[in-house]
Amino acid sequence: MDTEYKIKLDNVTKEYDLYKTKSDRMRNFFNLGNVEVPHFWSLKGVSMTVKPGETLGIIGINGSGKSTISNIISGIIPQTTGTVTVNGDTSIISIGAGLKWNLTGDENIRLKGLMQGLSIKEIAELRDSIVDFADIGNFINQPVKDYSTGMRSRLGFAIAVHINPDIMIIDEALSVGDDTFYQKCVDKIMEFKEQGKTILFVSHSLKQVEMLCDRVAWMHFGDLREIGEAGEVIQHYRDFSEDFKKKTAKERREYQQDKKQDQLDFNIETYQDTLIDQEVKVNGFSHKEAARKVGKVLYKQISPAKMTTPTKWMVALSVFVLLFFSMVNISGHSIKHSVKDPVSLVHPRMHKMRK
Amino acid sequence: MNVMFNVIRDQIANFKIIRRMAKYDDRATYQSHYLGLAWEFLNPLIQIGIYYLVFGVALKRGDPMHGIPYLPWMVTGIAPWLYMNKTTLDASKSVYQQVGLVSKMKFPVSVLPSIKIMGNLYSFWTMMAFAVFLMFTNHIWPTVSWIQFIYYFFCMIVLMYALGIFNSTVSVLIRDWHITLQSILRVLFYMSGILFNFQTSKFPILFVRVLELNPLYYIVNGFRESLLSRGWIWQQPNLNLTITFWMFVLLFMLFGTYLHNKFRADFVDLI
Repeated sequence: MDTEYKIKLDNVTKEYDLYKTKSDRMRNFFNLGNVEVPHFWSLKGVSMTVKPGETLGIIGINGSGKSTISNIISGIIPQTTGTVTVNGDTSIISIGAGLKWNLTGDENIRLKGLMQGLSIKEIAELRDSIVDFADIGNFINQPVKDYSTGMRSRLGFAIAVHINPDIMIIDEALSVGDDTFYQKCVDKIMEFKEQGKTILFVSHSLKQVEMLCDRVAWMHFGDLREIGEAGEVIQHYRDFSEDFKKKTAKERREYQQDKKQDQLDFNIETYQDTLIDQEVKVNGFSHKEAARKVGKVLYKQISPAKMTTPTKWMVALSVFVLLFFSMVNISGHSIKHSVKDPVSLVHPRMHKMRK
Repeated sequence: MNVMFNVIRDQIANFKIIRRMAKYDDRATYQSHYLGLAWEFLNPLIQIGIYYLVFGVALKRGDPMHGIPYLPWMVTGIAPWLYMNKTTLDASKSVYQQVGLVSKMKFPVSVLPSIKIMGNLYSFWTMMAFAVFLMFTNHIWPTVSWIQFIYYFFCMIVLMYALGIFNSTVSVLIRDWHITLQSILRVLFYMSGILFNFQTSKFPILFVRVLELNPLYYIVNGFRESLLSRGWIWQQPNLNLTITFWMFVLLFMLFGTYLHNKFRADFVDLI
C-alpha cells in the first residue's frame, strides 16, 4: 500500500436528525423529555484515500452523500464518527459561493481573503487578477445581491482559486457558468493539475468528470459503491443508470425507498460490530484488541456530545465555590470565620465595616 | 473541559486572522459615514456630557470615591462599561451575522466573538486616554497601583470572551436572546455603580453587598481602584469578589464552549 496521501477517510459516517418542528429541536437542545427523532445516515461508513496530485471525481445520484463528503473533507461540518486526515489547506467552491449579499464584490474579496488567512497586502495584490478572472467589470463595486447567478458563482470561483490552496474541492460549481467561463475554469483546473495540486471534483456531469479526473469515487445512498480508474467506474455507473432507466416507475420508486429506509435503519453499533468482526477475521486480532482499535478509529476525532464526567465535576465544584463566596460576601463575615462556622452565613453582619 | 482548551487554543492559533478581521470590521462599519471613525468617540462623549450634567452638576448625587472629583471618577468607570456593553452585544450577534459565510468555507467559528472583542478595543483605548487626561487635569497622578490595570484588563478580555462564546451560541438557538441581553445590560448599567457610587450612597448594606457580586462591577470598580489608587486586589471585599468573578467566568466558559461545540455543525440549519 502506498502510504503517501493527501486525504484519508476511515469509516466516516454522518448522521442528520430529522426534526419535525423547531420546538422539537429546542426540546432536544434543553434535554426536555425524550423526543423521538428519525435519524438519517447520509454517510454509512466511507473509507478512501486520495494521493497527492490526484484529481478525484465524486459521482452519484442526488442525495447520495456527495456534498456531505466534500463538506466533511473541507472541514465545514464535522463527521459523526470516523477519522478524517487532511494534509494541507483546503478551499471549497460550491454553488452558493458563500458570499455576503449586502457587501460589494470588492468587500467580499477582502472578507473572504481575510477569513482564509491572507493579509490585506496579499489581497490587494490578488484583487485585480480575481476581478479579471471573474470578468464582472464595473459590477465589482455593486452589492453582490444585484449580481446575476452566473456572476456570483464566477466571483466565488475566482476568489477560491486565487487563494492558492493545496487541495481544491469543487462542488457542482461549474454547472452555472456559460461556455466561456466554463472553459476558463477547466483551463484553471488543468493548470492546478500541472502544478501537482490535489483536486476533488463533485459533479453530475459525467463528461466533465471523464475529462478532468484520474480516479472516480461512486457514492450510492451513503455508501462508497466503487472507487477506481475513471473510465471503469464511469462505465459501471453508466450501465447502472441505463438499467435503472429501463425499470418501471414503480420498481424505481421501490428501489429508492428501500435504499432510503436502509439509511434510516442504519445503526452505528451494528456497524461497529461488523468492523470488529472484520478486524478479527482479516487481521487475526483478539476480539478485545479489535474492539479497541475500531473504537479508536471511530471516535478518536469526535468530541463527545454530552458533557464528560470531569467537566460535570468541574461545573459542580465551581457552582459550589461561587455560591459559598457569594454568601461570604453578602453576610459580611471574614472567610476564616465562614469556613469555621458556616451557619453564620445566614446571619449577616449589619455593620458597614468589614472584618 | 478539553473542548474549552481546544477553543482557547483556536484563539491563539488564529490570532493573526482575528487581528486583521478586527481592523477590517472597524473600517467597514463606518465606511459610509462622512465623519467615519470619529463617531466612535463622538457618541460616548455626548453620553458622558449628559451624565455629567445630570449627575455631576444638576443632582450632585454622584457620590464618587472619597477625595476624587466626579468627572474623572465617572469616566474611568464608564470607559470600560461602554466597551463591555458594546462588545457583549456585538459578540452575541457575531455568529448569527456570519453564519451564511462560514457555512460555505473552512473557518474557526469560535474566533468570531474575539474579532468583536479586538475590534472594539480601539475606541476603548481612546476613552481610557481621555480618562487619564481628565485625571491629570484634576491633579491625580500615576502610582504603583496602576500595575493592577493590567490584571483588570486581562479580566475584562476573558470575561468578554466567556460571555461572547456563550451568548453567540444561544443567540443562534434562541433569537430573543439578543434582545433580552440588551434589557439586562440596560438594568446592569444602573446597578453597576457607573454613574453613582452605591458604596457611599444610602443603599441598605445587604443590597450593596449583593450588587458587588456583579462581575461587571468587579471590572469597573477594579479599573477605578487601580487608576485612582484606591485599593488592592487582596483587600476585602475584593478577595471574595475575585473568587466569585473567576468562578463565574469559568462556568460561562465551560457552558459556552460546550454548547458551541455541540451545535457548531447545526448553526446553518437553525436559522
